[in-house]
Amino acid sequence: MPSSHEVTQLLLAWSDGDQAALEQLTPLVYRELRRLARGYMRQERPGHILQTTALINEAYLRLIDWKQVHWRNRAHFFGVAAQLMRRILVDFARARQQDKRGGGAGQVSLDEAAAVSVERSAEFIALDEALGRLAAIDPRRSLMVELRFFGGLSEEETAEALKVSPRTVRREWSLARAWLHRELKREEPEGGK
Amino acid sequence: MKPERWKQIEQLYDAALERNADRRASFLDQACEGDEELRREVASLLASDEQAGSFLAAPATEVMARSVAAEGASSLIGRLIGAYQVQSLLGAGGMGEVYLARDIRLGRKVAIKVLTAFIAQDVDRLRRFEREARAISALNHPNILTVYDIGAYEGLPYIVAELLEGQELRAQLPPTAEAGALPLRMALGYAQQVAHGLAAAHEKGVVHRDLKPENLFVLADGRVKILDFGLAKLKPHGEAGLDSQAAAQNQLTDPGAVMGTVGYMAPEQVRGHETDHRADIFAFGVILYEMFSGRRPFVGESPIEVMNAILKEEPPELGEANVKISPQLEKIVRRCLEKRPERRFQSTSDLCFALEALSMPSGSALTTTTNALEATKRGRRRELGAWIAAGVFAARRNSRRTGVGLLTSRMNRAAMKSTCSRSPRTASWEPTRNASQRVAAANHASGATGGNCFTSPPTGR
Repeated sequence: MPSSHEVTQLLLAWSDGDQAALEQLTPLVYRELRRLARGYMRQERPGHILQTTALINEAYLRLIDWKQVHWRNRAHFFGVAAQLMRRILVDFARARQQDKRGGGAGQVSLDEAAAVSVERSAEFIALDEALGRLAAIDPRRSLMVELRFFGGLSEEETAEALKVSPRTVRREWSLARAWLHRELKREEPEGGK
Repeated sequence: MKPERWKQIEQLYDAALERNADRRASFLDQACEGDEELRREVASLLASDEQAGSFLAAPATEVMARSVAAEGASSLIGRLIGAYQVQSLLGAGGMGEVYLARDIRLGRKVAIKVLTAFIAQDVDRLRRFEREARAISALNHPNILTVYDIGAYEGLPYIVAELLEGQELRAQLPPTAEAGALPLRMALGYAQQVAHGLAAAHEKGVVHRDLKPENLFVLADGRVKILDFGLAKLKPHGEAGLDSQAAAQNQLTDPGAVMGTVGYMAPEQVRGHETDHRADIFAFGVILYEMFSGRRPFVGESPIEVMNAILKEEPPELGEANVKISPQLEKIVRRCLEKRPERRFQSTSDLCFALEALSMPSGSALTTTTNALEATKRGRRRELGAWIAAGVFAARRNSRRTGVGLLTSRMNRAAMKSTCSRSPRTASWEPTRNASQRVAAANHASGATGGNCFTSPPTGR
């Protein structure tokens, strides 16, 4: 198990184009995901909201040595981490879907993915694709969603990464979300295009 | 779409949002100036915004993890962990989940605890844990859970141990002070067994560090086993910020969880100082106090208050709560609960002897106020042989099932005599939640996500 220091190094390597780094990072994210899921299973009870945020923050902190990042380019790093999470989570969803259909077995170690339903996976993939389409129209909004949703960044952190004010993030977020929501609705079977 | 067009849409959308919902239609009519397509586009986005609810409100990791949680409540079931086929969930607690599993090589049933609460990131700590697990399993002591195997499954440490039938000591302790103490003889029997187990471990240099009623398991025949030796060391210490944050979260969500652990900490642990076996002696003293009085020695509204009490307060005399407590017993408990480690029992064997002396016929430790007790004492010598035989029988029968050592020691007599009034169940470490509760939790998680997987519970971030 690499330390968070190593994880950070791997992330930086990946952002420099080292694809092998992704292979090492993916199982770590899967493991965190499963750990989180277990946290929910164990602790989730009605009315206990704070748990969620704590777990997410913890997962994020666990994976990345932020101190090490600090003196480098923090904003850039936020972007890299978010991009990585998007890539891994969508792969996770995609692999899961394949697994359910009986194809592609053995390509990825899917033990961790074994519990996600096809429907949910499909939504993840649809969102990823819609985000790609949004990028063609409005790259900044697409990136914003990547940072906030996939990267789990706060409004302030997203603003920092995009080099805009938190107010701008708040304002621009609304249209991005409305647009994506509409895209996903359109893809529902009864919706049609 | 042309950038200019998108810019137009964006501006109109933002401007419309700034207006009250009932004014938006007329605003768009006016602003679009007959550009019907533009109007339709903006109106549909505004409608989408209204429908979106908590869409994308929670981060992707959380959404995915919730999906996994909702549908994978028993994701380890059916898997092969090492040589162990996981069959069903026995319970889940703070450190991990305990499953019933089958050792496919030996064909016996075992309990397997997967420590899901943390990842074995710290190799040194994991090695130390393995070393201690080896030391503990080498003891083969009747009052310590027998560990068969340890390992790591996809980075999660796991422990394989004998399958026990019975319940946590916690389940036998009164939930409220009014409910009273444990029967004296039963409590003393438990105390002696735990002390023997502890002494054996301490002799090998293994300290528990998290001794509490949740970690003491009472078998159907009255024998007590100490669980989770050395596990406390696996808990992360380095991330102090995270720890206190997590503790605070826990306190808000489940005060009992933190209080439960905090209440058994020795003063030196509270202060974060180095600890040794004498911290276990302190925790043992807290357990004694609880068993004999039905009360916690250190109480407070919050973990901080409890810790403060541990550092500064002297608990009320045991005799106040339970008139049957002898001065000798009172003295033993007091000595365990000394604030300074050097004033406590220095060796756990000494503590054992002191407890043993209490139940000797010549000792007057258990007060002689009850006739029943007198009668028992008179009959003791006569019964002795029978009890030893019963003890050996129980141990033999048990050893066939679980591989426990052959001889139960003399200290088990009292415990075996006092039969457990509650019905035993198959369980193991920390069986704090049963399967149906877990399913309920998972359902809650899935229910909260509603129709769309990116929406979060309304109460979320």
